[in-house]
Amino acid sequence: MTTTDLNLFDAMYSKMNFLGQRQKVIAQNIANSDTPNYNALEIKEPDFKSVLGNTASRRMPLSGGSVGNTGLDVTNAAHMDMNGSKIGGDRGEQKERGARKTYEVSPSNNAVVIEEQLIQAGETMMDHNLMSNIHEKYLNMLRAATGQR
Amino acid sequence: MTELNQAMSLAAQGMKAQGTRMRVISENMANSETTAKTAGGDPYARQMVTFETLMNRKTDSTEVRVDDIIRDTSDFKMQYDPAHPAADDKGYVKMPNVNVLIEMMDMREAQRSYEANLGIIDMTRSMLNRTIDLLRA
Repeated sequence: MTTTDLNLFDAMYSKMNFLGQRQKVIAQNIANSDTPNYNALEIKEPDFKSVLGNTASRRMPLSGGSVGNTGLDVTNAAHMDMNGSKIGGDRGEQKERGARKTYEVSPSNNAVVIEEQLIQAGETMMDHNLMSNIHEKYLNMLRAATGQR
Repeated sequence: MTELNQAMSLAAQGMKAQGTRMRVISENMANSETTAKTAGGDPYARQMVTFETLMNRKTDSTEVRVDDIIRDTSDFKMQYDPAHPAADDKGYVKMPNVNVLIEMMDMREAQRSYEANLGIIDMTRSMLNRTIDLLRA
C-alpha cells in the first residue's frame, strides 16, 4: 500500500498539483504585468463534484464505476476522451485557462492588476500551507495507528 | 514541484526585464542634459523599453522579454543659450527630450513590478520549502 491508495492523500496531491500550476500562472501574469496586449490568465478551478465523482468511481470499481465514468474533461472538439489511451494523467491537469475581465486595462492594452495577482498568490500559498499541514497531521495519525509513535 | 520551479524562473525573467527597464531609465536620467558638440546638432534622444511575450513550448508558459529599446521621436526642447557650442545661428540649443518627472514615474512603476516579482519568488520559495518539509514529517 502506498499513500496514493488513500483517497485523502490522492485528493491532497491533486490539490497541491493544482496550487503549483496556479502559482505558475500567477507568476506568468506578474512577469507580464507591463507587456502590451497581455491579458491575465487564470486556471479554472475544478469543481468539487466532478473531482469527487472521479475519485470515488476510480476507488470503487465494484459499484459499477467503469472507466467511462472517470472521463477527462472534454472542453474542445480536438480533445480525446478516456476511451482511448489514458492521456495526460488523471489528476491535476487543469489545462483550461480562462482570461478574466479585470476592471483596469492600461493604455497599452495590458490587463494585469498586480494587487489582484498578489492576493491570489497569497491565497495559493495559504492553501498550500494548509495542504501540507493536513498531510503532516494525517501521516502522524497513520503512524499512531501503526504503533510507530 | 516542476510548476513551482517554473514559477520561480518566470518571476526571474520578469525581474530581468524590469532591470533592463531600470537601466534605460537611468541612462535617460543621466543624459537629461547631454547636448551635441557641434552647432545645431541633435542632443541625446530619450530611449524607451518595449516588452513582448515569449511562448515557451517546453514549459507551456508565456515568458516576458525585452523586445527592443527604441528612441523617443518627440521634439527636442529648445533653449536660448548663444554661448553654447551647440547653439544654432539663432542662438538656440536643442536639449534632450527627457522629462525627469516622467522618468521618475516610470522608475517607480518598474520598481513596483520588480517588487511584485520578488514577492512571487518569496511565496513560491516558501511553498517549495513546505513541500520539501513533507519529507521530514
